Amino acid sequence: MTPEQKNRLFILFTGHAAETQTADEHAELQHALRHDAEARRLWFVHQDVESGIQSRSAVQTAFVSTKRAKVSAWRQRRPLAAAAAAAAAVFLIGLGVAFWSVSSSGGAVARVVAAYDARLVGVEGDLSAGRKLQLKRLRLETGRLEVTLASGVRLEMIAPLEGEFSHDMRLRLDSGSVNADVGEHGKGFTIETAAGEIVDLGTEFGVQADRLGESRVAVFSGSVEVHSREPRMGGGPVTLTEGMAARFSVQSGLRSWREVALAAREAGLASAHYTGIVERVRDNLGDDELQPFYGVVRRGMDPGMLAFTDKPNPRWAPRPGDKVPSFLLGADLIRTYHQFRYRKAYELTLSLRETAEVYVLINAQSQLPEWLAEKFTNTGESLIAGPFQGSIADWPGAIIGADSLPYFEFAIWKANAPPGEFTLGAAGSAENQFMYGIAIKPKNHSTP
Amino acid sequence: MDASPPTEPPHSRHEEFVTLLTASHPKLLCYLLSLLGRWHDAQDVLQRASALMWQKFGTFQSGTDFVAWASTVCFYEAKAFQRLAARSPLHFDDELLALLSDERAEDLKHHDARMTALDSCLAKLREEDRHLVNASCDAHGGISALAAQLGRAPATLYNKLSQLRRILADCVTSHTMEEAT
Repeated sequence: MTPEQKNRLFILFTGHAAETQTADEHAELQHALRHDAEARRLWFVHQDVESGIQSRSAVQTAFVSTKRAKVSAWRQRRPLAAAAAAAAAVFLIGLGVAFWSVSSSGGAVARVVAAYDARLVGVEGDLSAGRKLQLKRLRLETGRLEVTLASGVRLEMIAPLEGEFSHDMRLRLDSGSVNADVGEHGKGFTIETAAGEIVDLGTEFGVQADRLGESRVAVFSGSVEVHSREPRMGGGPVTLTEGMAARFSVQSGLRSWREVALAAREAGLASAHYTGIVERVRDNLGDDELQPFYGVVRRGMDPGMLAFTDKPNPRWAPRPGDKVPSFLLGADLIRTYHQFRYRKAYELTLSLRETAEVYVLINAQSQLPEWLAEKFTNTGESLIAGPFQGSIADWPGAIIGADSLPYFEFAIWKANAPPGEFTLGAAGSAENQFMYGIAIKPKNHSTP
Repeated sequence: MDASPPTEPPHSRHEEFVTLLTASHPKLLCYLLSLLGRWHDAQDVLQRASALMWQKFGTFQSGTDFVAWASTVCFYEAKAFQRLAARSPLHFDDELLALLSDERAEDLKHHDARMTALDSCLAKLREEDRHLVNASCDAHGGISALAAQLGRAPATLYNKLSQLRRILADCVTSHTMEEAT
């Protein structure tokens, strides 16, 4: 192999790792690896070097800052030794080994990450970011509250919610909805409901519980164990992995539940079931092994709402100096999967209970897919979403925020949909591609 | 994967599993890096695969090659990841994955020697180059953000990092071949 060929190979290696390759470069790399044994040997050496550098870098930085501004803890780099220990710790959890110390006073110490119209009973003053809270008995009357516990677990709590923290690693959820992003040090975090326990085996999941003994679990990434109290289950936990959702109760045991209603209920409504306009959401990517599910947030189209199921940071917001269009406020929000943005044959089918206005939020720089241009009209309004990762700050249309991270404008397109099935297509085929967002309102409730 | 109850290995084997997984973790991560090519993807898949390994640990016979057994689990998790969860559509096809998997399983025996060599190879870099290599690992925003931070053009920085990685790879290869002779 000539020096020029070797140089070229390493440029391809670097591009692959940085996800900056074009399709042609990727094909070139594949061809080289498939047909040249020396290229494969260099690939292996390169990965060993990369692994060694990453591990050494992590050891140097791990103890400089234990909490980063980004809450996507599942992406944190890990010290070499700690990574191995953490991997091992996952399996100790399932065996009931108490790995973390318990607060002697009971309850949990939490720091506020964000609050959206949140009213927490017994807590006075502003729930501003960074505020420290001592939480034991918990009652969130309105809004949403995101906190990080001392254990590193991040919780998104949606009102109305009642529960109690035993300590940093255990929450009893009496009613309401919680999403948990557990991260490296919070593995084993347990949410207990009347219907059973959900033990985290890694990363991100959501639980909804009600006082009738019904609980619902959805796993966004990683896996959880569900221990149902239902004696007819035959004993033993059930493991749910990414994309799966299950519903279990004291009465009826465990069964699959494809849609998770992350209900943002109005004060006073006690219903545990999502009764919004969307009856069902499914795509054509799932199979018998894995079935992606879609979070539906009732009246969820508000500033600050997470845009995608699989990205912890990008949130919807009005353009700087602007407001969310009035016709969009209070719409039901469907969190799509950003990772599906490149799927050319992707189809997403909504089953609607009544005539609806369907809004698609699509990146303003994107080439419009044909299905959108055929069925939808441009409202002339837009929102922004972000922050996205810094590596795409140079993409067309990037708006660099105060946090030095990129935000992007999403144009709002609208279609009138009859009751029944309504299908959306792939996001597009651009090199710099985003997934679209979806909001839905009953047509007779829309603001002209 | 469905929601049926897994066959859980006996509690008496959990210490054995933890010991084996801890010792094998770096090699399994490198194995997955060779299939996926991206550090964070490899970490994510290994995390998922680790949970599955525990579920299936009852099928592992003590005293046999744990890395070989575990890499089979990792292989199928990597394929599932590419099929359903990969951020980028640009990933290796099944034929190349199988080829890389076969050869990497044998190649992993060089891993420890390469890691030992890497320390001296990093020390041989100029201090500014060593800092650049470390900074590229720490950069949350990727190469573009690092370039902005350093006041350099992304393309220039990109080529520089490629060059440094090639230098390190050559150095590591040279060291391990010297030791072998």
